[in-house]
Amino acid sequence: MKDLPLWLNLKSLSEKQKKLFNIEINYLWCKGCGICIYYCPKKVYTAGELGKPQIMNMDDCINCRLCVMRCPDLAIEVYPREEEKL
Amino acid sequence: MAIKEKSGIKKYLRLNKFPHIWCGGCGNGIVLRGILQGIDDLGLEQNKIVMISGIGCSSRMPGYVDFNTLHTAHGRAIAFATGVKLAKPDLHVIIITGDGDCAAIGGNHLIHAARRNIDLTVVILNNSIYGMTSGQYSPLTPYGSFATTAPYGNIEQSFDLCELVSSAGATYIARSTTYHAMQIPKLIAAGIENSGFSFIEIILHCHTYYGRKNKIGGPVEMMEWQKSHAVPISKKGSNIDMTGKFYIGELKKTRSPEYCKTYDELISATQRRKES
Repeated sequence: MKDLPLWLNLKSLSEKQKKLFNIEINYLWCKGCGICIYYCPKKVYTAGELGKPQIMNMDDCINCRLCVMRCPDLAIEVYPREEEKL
Repeated sequence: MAIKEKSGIKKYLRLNKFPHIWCGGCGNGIVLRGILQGIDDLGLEQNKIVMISGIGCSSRMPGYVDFNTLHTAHGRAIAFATGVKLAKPDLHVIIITGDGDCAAIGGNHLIHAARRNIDLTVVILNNSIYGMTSGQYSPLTPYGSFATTAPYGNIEQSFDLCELVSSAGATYIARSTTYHAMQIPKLIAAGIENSGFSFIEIILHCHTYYGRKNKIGGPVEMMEWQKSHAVPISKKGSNIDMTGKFYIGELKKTRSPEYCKTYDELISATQRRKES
C-alpha cells in the first residue's frame, strides 16, 4: 500500500468514507420467516427468539436493501445514520 | 437523530390493518412492497390510482393500501376494471389477481381485455396453487406436481399466460419472481407508464401449500428454486437447457392503438359528423 499514491489507497479511502446505516425492525409485524437472515450478504442478522432476526453488527450494513425489498412483512427499514457532529 | 431517506412507501399503507393476514414468509408481501416502490418511483398521486382485485390470497392486497380500492367477485377484477377505466380514463388502474382468479374463472375477461388493448396494468401473482382454499391445483400448477386435489400428481398441462396474452394482443408483458425482488418496481413502473394492456406475472412461493405438498421446503428453499429456474430474457438464444425453466424480464414491448383513446376519437368524430 505504501507505493500507491494517496488517491489509489483504497483502504484509507474506505475508512474515511465508510457510511453507516441504521436498521429498524418492526417486531410487531415480523413473523420470523428467516429470509432476511439467509440473504444478508454481510451477515448482519442472527436468528433470535422465535426465529426473528436480531441485529448483531449494524456497522457492517452496506445498504444493499435486499432485506428491505424481500421482507414479506414490510417490517425492515434501512436508512443512513447521521453522524453526531464533533 | 433525524430520520431521513426512509423508504417512502409507508404513506401508501393502511397502517391500522397491519400485521397482514398472509403466512410468515409469503411472497405476497414482497410483491406488495415492489408495487408500492414502483408507484413511489413514478411519484403518482394517491387519489389517481385504483387498485382492483378478485378473490384469493393475493387479492387481499387492496385492503392494505391507501388508494381507491375495489375488492370484487371471483375472477371479475378485469371486468370491473374495464368499467372503471372507461368511466374515468385519467385514473391509473392496477389489477391484483392470483393464478386461479385470473387464469381459471377470469380467463375470458383476461384475453378480451388484452385483445382490446385497454390501458390496464394486470399484476398476476402466480403461486401455482389455490392458497386461500387450502391447496387445490390451479391452471398454472406445473405438470406432475402435487396438490390437495392431485394427490398422485397433476396430469393437466399448465398455461403459459405470458404467451397467451401476447397472442391475445397485450402490448407490455413482463415476468419476474420474488427472488428477483429488486426488479419488480421497474417492471411495475414500466407497466403503469405503458399506454395499453400491461401484463406482469410474478412467480412467488406458497410454502404453506405448494412447498409442503411438493416437499420443496420453506420460503428460502423456494426462493432458491426460483433463482435456479429463472433465465434472464437477455440470454435468449444462447445454449441454455430451458426444460422446466422460464424467462424473466421484459418479454414484450410494442405499441398499438389504446381502447379508451380510440373510443374518445370515435365519439368526437361522430359528433362532428352530426353537427355538420
